[in-house]
Amino acid sequence: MSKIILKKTVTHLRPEDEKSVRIIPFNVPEGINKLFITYSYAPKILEDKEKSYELIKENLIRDAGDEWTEYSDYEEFMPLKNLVTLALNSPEGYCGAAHRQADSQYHEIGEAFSSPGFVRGKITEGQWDLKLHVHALVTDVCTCDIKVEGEVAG
Amino acid sequence: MKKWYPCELHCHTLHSDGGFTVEGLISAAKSRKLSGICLTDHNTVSGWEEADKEKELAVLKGIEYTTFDGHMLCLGTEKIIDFTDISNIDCTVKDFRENGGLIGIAHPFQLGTPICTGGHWDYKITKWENVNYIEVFSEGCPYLNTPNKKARALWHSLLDKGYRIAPSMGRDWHRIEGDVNLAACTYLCCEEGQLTGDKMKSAIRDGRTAVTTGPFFTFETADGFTVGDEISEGENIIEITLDTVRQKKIATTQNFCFKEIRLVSNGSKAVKVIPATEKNLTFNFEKGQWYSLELWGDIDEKTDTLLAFTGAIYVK
Ligand SMILES: [Zn+2]
Ligand SMILES: [Zn+2]
Repeated sequence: MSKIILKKTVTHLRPEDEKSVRIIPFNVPEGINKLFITYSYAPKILEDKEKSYELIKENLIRDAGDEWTEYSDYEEFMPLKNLVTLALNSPEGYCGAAHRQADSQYHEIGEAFSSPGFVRGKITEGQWDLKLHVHALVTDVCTCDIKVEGEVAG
Repeated sequence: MKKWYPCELHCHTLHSDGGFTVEGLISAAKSRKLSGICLTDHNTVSGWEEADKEKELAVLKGIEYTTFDGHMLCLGTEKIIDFTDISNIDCTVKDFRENGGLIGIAHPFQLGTPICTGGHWDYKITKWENVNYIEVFSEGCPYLNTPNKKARALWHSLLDKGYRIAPSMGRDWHRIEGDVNLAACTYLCCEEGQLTGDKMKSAIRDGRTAVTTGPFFTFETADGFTVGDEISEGENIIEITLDTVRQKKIATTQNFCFKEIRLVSNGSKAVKVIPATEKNLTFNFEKGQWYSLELWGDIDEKTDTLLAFTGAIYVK
């Protein structure tokens, strides 16, 4: 059993990328029976307290309306975190997502088993898409490292 | 015969960011004496296969579309999308409905990004007739905190406009740790017998829900109509059920004090108030109005709060 690298890429996200999706296509050749995705991003948390305070205040004014002053303890919302989740599309359609906070993840996709978050299924050849769902981007820059490997059948 | 079943309509597992395995969630639900759950992981259905193995607890399979602009619960349809493909919320909702799904708005007034990413409902829905339920009570504080007060006001305002939408309580259950108000749940009125996901789905679709912080609280009219039904105008007697059997088994350290029962109607107006000890209520129901029954009182140190309420009954 041998593994080949199907994609290896580094993506830099900035605050303006918040609430957007970054699509990372990769091609799966014939004869692959499993995919392995290694994913990490950094930094995870916003260390800057002053900036956190500002972002929380903005968040409260926007979403809590007239009651925004009811929230007095900003520390309970800290540290603010980046949240960039991984979703996957096969040539057949949506395979799910790993919607969780972990900033370092490893997933396996295959017919007999897929990691939690992704439905299992046959690895069909063709164009697949990894999607970065940028739910929150609170640091000046966030670097996402992605590697996709395929297991060659036989 | 119909019977009310305690259910938890909003649950997460390791398939998204929950701490439970699917099996662990199911056994936690059983120990809370729940009869059914909705499995609603964020943006995935990969936990459904494990849920299918469960033979005792009813599981209604769903998903929580955890978007950048709101969290939407979708139950009982095989149609699954990537939320970033949503371009028009009304069209998406309609499409799910046409594929047999039910649509619920999760925690509409939760704080949004970055505190709880996408948690605040920012979509502008114009076709509310396609929305089945709204989480009026949510999360760790399932009583009248500020977000829940606003959710109740939103629900009432939609009923005022003539939409028939059910209320729900969603624990947004991720793990046992930190749980409060352990008996809080949504009761669903279903055909008596083994509860199934399909029966849960019918109950939500038909508006047969009752929300509670603990006590089982609902009503039936003298002629057998209940929450979600349509009745004729005129005088009617409502028989009230207020039962603490399950609550006392689960919320063993909580103190509840039931004070009054309010019949609430259009404009959130309490049109009749009686002591919580009363077993029935007589009222002259007005044409075209909606009515929800509310139980008010104390829960631990929280005084004069909303403890339980039913979905609406509608007058022709
Ligand atoms: Zn949510
Ligand atoms: Zn949730």
